[in-house]
Amino acid sequence: MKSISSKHIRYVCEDNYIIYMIWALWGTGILLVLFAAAAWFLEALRSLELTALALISNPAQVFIFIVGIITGVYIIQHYVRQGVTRKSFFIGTAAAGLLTAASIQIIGLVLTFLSFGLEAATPFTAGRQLTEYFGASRGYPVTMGITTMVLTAHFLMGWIIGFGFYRYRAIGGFASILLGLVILGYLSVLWDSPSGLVTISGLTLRFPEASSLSQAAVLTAGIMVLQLTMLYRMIRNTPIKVQ
Amino acid sequence: MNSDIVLQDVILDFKDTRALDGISCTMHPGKIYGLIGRNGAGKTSMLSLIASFRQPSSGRVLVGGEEPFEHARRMEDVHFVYSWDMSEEDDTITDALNHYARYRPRFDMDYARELLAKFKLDGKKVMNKLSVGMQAAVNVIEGLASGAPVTIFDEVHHGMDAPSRNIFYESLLDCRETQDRLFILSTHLVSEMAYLFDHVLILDEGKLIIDEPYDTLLERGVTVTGEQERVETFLRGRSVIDRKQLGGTLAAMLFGSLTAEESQRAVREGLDISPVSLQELFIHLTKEAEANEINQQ
Repeated sequence: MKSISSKHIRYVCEDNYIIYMIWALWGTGILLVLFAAAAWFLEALRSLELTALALISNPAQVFIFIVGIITGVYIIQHYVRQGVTRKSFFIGTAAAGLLTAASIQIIGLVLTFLSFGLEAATPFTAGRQLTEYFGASRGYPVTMGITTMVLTAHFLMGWIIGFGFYRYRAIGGFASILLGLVILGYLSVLWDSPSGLVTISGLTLRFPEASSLSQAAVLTAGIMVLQLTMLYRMIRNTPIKVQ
Repeated sequence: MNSDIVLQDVILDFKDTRALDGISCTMHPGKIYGLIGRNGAGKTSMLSLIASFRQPSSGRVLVGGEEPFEHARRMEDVHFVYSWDMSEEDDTITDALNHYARYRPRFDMDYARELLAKFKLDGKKVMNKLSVGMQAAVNVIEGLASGAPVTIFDEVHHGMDAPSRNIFYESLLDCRETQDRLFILSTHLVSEMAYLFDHVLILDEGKLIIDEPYDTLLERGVTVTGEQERVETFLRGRSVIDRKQLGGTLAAMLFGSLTAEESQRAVREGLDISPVSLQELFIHLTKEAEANEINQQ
């Protein structure tokens, strides 16, 4: 018995990716309009230090995390109703999340180059700094690769939380939120807070920090494998609600 | 293509509640099965198992001889259509149907367009702007055009007006005639939809109390109508499951058929013999006492 259909995996991936990217483009447009409006009034915003790629990094984490939550709560029943197995849905949706994370980086890159063009034609000064990891700038390909991994982990965490509420209702949902705080806290330690300390709502947590970029990348990949394993175990036999 | 459905001693438990209790039945392509039962009888639970929406607590569900749960090809063969909240859907009807067609290899888009015209639906309309009746029609179109060997309609006609329901029924009969598909209709509109059924399944409190061809089921009861005293005399010693009296006239529904001799005697005594309707049988079979009695027969 085959529990996956490559055709369905491709369709689920394409359909989810298109929806996610429509949302991402709307989000990017809204961010740009807000930035342009703010720069009109605040002179400080007309001269930037960070690239657009670095500037969208944090909003992108929030965005893709919310996309993950929506995916967890609303989407599975639609696909199972169309005869898609849970496993095909899982693989297709995970791939769509990864592609979206990578595409957001490409959008950031495009915006960065557009800002360079704008700099040549207007008094606006485009930033040149990328997000620094382990105290140094790592160049566009590595930075985009790392951020894609971090964004994907945020997507998976949102998906776990949303699905926690879908399958296990309030108790499971709140338990998955606690798990999310720990996992996102650890991601923050790996990439943003080399001290190993993270404070969440006044509670300071100490995590073992990574000693190098490659170690942090391996640990992040390990977190993603853990998240994917948890998700698959939750999804593979889940009952679908008729509603 | 084999798309027989077989349920073997299926039990489904939700925590402390037994939703389905030892259901066994077989369904074959080329027929329309009417699944009826009172609220909470377990209809949607049973359909959810066939559609792989959930797994049974024990027993087996087979579609085409294989367990469909997480079976890519078998899940594609079963289409479970039910009313769902379209308030967040901002696709047009045509976009939605095109989307469904991608996942259903046998989806017939030309037939879907034909049905859109019959239901007088504009394919450019956005789903969340549709009335409840129009949403129901879209669900019906999705199910009929899907070409799925097993197509299940669970109360999809909610909100449809009478002409639209009639289009649904006629189209369903056309599909049954021209395609070798198995349809299951779950409904509360028993009297209106009874003529569509080739076979009737009646669930009561999680148990399958009737699993019979429609015609055979109707033979399980007769209504005897006439002057009260004559009817009472005729009925002596028989299992009467309902009585309706108007003045001196009594209409009594019997559970069980009459022999040719008994029918002739009734006619000689001026009594009128008529078949019972499925709705009447359903109402009386699902009354607690009657259901227990039927289970024991």
